[in-house]
This record gives sequence, C-alpha cells and structure tokens, in this order.
Amino acid sequence: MEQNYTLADLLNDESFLRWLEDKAPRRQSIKWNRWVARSPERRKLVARAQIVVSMPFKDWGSESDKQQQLERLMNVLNKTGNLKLIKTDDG
Amino acid sequence: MLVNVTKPREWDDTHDIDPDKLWSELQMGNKEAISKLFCLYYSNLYNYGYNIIPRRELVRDCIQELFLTLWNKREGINQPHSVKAYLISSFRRIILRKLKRYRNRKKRNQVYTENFFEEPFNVEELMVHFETERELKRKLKEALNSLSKRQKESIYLKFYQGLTTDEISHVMEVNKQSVYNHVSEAISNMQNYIQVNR
Repeated sequence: MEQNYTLADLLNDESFLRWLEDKAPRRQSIKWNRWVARSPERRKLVARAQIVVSMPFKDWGSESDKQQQLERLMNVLNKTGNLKLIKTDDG
Repeated sequence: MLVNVTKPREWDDTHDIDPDKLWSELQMGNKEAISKLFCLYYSNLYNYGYNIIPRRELVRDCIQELFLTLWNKREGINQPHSVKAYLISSFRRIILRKLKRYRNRKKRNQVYTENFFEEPFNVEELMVHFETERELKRKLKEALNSLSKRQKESIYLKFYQGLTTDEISHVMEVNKQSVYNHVSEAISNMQNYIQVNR
C-alpha cells in the first residue's frame, strides 16, 4: 500500500472513502486499519479527511413536500392518456 | 468521527431497497416502483437542484419532469450502472435546459456555469445545521469560500451525494481527469484551513 498519501490522494481513493464510512469490505478495512495505525501523522491525515468528507452542505428541507410532490407525479401517471407536466404557478 | 453529519448517501443502503430491482420493475410498467424510486431520491435531487438554482418551484418541476420522462421512456432506457448517478445526471440536464429558457442572454452557457452554486452555496447558510466547534466552523467556512464553483460542485457530488469520480464525470460532462483535478485542487485549497491539533 502507498506509504505517502496526500490528503487529496486519500479523498480521491474510493476504497479509502468506503473505509472512512465504515462500509469497506473486511480485507480493505483491515488494510486501512493497519495503515492508519502506523503513525500519528496518518491519524491526523485521516482526521482531516473526515472533516472534508463531513463538509456541512445544508439540507434544504425537502422532506416536508416529498409526499405532496409524489402525489402530483402519481396523479399525472394515473391519467393514462396525456402524460404532461402540470405547471405550477411559479414554475 | 470528529464530526457527525447525516448525509443522504446513507439512504441508498438502508431500508433494504434495491434501486436496480426497482428499475427493472419500473421498466415493466410498475407504478409502485417509480413511486419508490421517487421517494428514495427526492431529497438528493431536491438538494442538488436547489444548490444549482434556489427556486423551489423550478426545482420541483424539474423533478416532476425527470420522473415523467423516465416513465414515458422506460422501455427504451437501459439499466444504468448506478440508478442514482443516472437520475442526478439527467436531472442536471433538465435544470440547465430550463435555465436556458429562463434567461435569454448572450453567452448563456457561460453565465449559467458561472452562476452555478454561487448564491445558494452561501457558506453561512451551509453551517446552520452543523454542530461543531466554533473554530472548526469558521475554518470550514473559509475553506469553502476559497473554492471555485466547479470545485464546490465536485466535492458536493463526491462527499455529499456520494458519487464516484466516474459518475461525477458523467454528471458534470467532463472527463475523469478533470473531476480528479477539481477534487484535488479543492482539497489542496482547503487543506491549509483544515489542520488537526492532536
């Protein structure tokens, strides 16, 4: 395994990202666990990677209108003839 | 973990919902399958759309159009490698097309690209739902502010939406190397802000 990863290398590495999310297959997980255990610098690097991965992009609050929008879609789908978007006022 | 954030990428893997299976059911004309796909990805799509253009109704309409098109063309579309990446990518094209119709200007493509992720990615706003130390917040804010829109979009798709480099290259319609570069540059821009003292 690569010894001198930069932060960018790690964050571009899908295997590392899976490990960071605790979703890596066992073998990869063991590999990364060993890798990080080798030095305090690596632990710091992983901590920084976690910060980047957890970059707090805001959730714009879509849950509340999900059901309503689903009904809107299904209403159109259920009118079998003409499948066209029904415009909303502001759309 | 230093920071705990609930991200929509988790939703793919929970609830025992298999998007590929839903896709094939959709192709056979199963309306329940499309409604499940809708529920599964609505938030991902909405949030992404709102970051591109902060207009609720427009974003909602684009989601409707995406799923209606999907339904109408269901028999002609092959099973994508990743359902989520396919939806995000089609959705982006729908939004950009709508935006073109919206703003009738010269060099419109360039204008849209420049506007991309500008207003809504107001970093103050981004931080609202984020619980962490004050200092870290401040640093993350500076870090995000230091990025170009392309870089922001790349790391947004990568870390928030959980797409792979390959998928992002389809969504953003650039090659894989460009995505890699955007991510690397974003991180190298941010890394001075992100120091860990332990």
